[in-house]
Amino acid sequence: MSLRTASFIIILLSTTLSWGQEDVSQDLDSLGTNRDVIRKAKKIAPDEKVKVVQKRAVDRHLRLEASLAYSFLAGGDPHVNSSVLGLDLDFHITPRWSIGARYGRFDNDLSKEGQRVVDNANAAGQTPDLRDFGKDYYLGTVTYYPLYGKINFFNVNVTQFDIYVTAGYGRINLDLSGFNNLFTAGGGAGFWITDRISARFEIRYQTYMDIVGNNQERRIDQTVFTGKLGFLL
Amino acid sequence: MIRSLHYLILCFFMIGLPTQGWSAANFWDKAHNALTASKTDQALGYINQLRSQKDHGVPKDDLNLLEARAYYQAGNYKMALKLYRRISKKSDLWLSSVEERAWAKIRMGQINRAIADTKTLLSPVFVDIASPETFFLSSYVAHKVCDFQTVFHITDAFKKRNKVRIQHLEKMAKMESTRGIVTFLNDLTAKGLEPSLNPQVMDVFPKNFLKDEQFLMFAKIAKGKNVNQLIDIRKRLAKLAKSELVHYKDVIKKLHLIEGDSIQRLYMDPSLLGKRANIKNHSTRGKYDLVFPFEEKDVWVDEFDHLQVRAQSCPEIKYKGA
Repeated sequence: MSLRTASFIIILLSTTLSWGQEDVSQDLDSLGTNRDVIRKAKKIAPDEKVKVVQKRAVDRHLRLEASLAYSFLAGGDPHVNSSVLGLDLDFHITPRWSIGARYGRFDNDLSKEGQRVVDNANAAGQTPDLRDFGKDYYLGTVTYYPLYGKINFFNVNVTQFDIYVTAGYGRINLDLSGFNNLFTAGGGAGFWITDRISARFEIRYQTYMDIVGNNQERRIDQTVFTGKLGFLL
Repeated sequence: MIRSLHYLILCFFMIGLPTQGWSAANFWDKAHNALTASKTDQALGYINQLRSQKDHGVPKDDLNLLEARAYYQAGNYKMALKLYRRISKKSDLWLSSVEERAWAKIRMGQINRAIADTKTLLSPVFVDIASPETFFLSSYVAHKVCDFQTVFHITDAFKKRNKVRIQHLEKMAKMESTRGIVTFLNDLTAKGLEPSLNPQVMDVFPKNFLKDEQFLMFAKIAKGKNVNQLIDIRKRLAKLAKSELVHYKDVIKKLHLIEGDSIQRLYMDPSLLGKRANIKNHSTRGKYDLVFPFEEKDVWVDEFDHLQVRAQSCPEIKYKGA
C-alpha cells in the first residue's frame, strides 16, 4: 500500500468517525487539519479570473447635458487677462461619443503689462493698441470618452468618472476684427456626482487670429482651464 | 406564452379554494404553509391572490423572496432568479436572496455566476455575518471547478468564524453558564431587554433569538426578577441553541464530505494530471458596461453583486482518438 493511499484512508476514517460524535466542536476541529493536502491542493489551483462589471451610474444614450462653465485663459495677448462665462450643451449619443455646442462670453481686464502700456500711451497722448480682445464665441465640438474610472471619497461615496478628449471649431467675436475662425482641442475629466449632475475639469488649447498694429494679423494661442457644472436633462 | 399558461393553470386551481374574504395575512400564512408542505402550485396561487390585493401591506421584498422560493421549489429557476434579483440591496433579506439565487444558478449549470455570488457573500464586509450555508455553498462551487485550494481556505475561514460561537452554543444548550450568558441575564433583570443587547451577545447567541416569540415573551417580564428565576429564558435559549447546533452539524457534515472528496481526488484522481479546458468567455457585460479589477481583500461598497467570474473547469486527460 502506497503512502498516499494510506494517508487518504487515515484521513477518510478520521473524517467518518468524527460524524458519529455528538460534540459539534470536535466535528469542527476535524475539518481541514491536514496541511500536506492543502499544499497539494495549491498545485492545481484553477485559473480563476474575477472582475467587477458595473453598469454606468448614468445612462448616456441620447441624453442632453447642459453645463454652466467658467474658464480662465492663459497665453495669447499679454496685455489682457481674460475669463469666460459659458453655456455648453452636449448631446450624448452613446456613453463614448457626444456632440456639443458652446457659447462663451469674455470678461477682460488689463494685465499689469496692459496697464503699463495704457499709462505710457496716455502720457504720450497716443491711443493704446489694445482693442482686439475677445467678446464672445460659439463653438461646435465632438467629444470622445475612451477612459473611465471611479474614486472612493473617504469611504463615503464612490463616484464614477470619464476621461475625455474634445475637438471643436467655431467663431470668435473680436472687438476690432469682428468674427474670426476659432479652433480648439483638449481633454478633461467628468465626475458623476449624482445620476443627473456632473462636475467637469477641462484643459484645452484654442487658437484664432486677431489684428495688431497696422492691420497686421497675429495668431493667438491660448490654454483654457475650465470648470463646469452639468445637468443631464 | 408558457408563463400565461402557467397563470391560467394557477387561476383554474384557485377556483376550487375558499379564498373569498381572506385578508392579506391569511394569504401570506397560507402561502407559507403551502410552501413548507411543498405544495408549490398552491403557494404560487396564494401569492398571486395576495399580489392582486391593492393594499396587501406585505413588504415587496418579503413577497418577492417568498415567490422566488416557490418558483425555486417548483424547479422554475429562471423565474426564481428574476424574483431574487428584485430584492433590494437595502433589505435585510438581500444576503439570503444572493445565497439562494446562487443555488438556482448552480441548478441551471451557471457555476461561474454562482462563484461570483459567493465572492460577494464572503467578501470582507459580509464574512462576519455569513451563515454556515454560505460557507458550504462557497465550498461546493469551488469543489465543482476543482479549486481545492479555495475549498480548504473556506474550511479554515469557517472554523475561525464559528469556533467560539459553537462553543458558546454548546454550553448554552447544556444550560451551562458562560460569561456572555451571565452578563446578559444580569443586564436583562436590571435594565430590560434592549439595553442588554450588545455585539458580543448578538454574536454568540442563537441566530434570530430576538425574533423568537417565546423568548420575547419571557424577556418582557424579566426586568426586576432574580437571575435564578429566569429558568424559562435559559430553557428557551438552550432549545434554540440545540436547534442551531443540529444545523451546524449538518453543514459540518457536508463540508467534511466536500473535504473528503477533495482529498480523494487530490491523491487518487488521475484526471487532475491533465489539463483544464479553455472555456469561452461567458461574459454577459454590455458594450458600455464598466469593468474593473477585483481585489479580494478590498472590495468597494459599490462592487457587491457586480462580480463576474471566469474559472476554468476541472482538468481532464485527453486520450488520442477519444
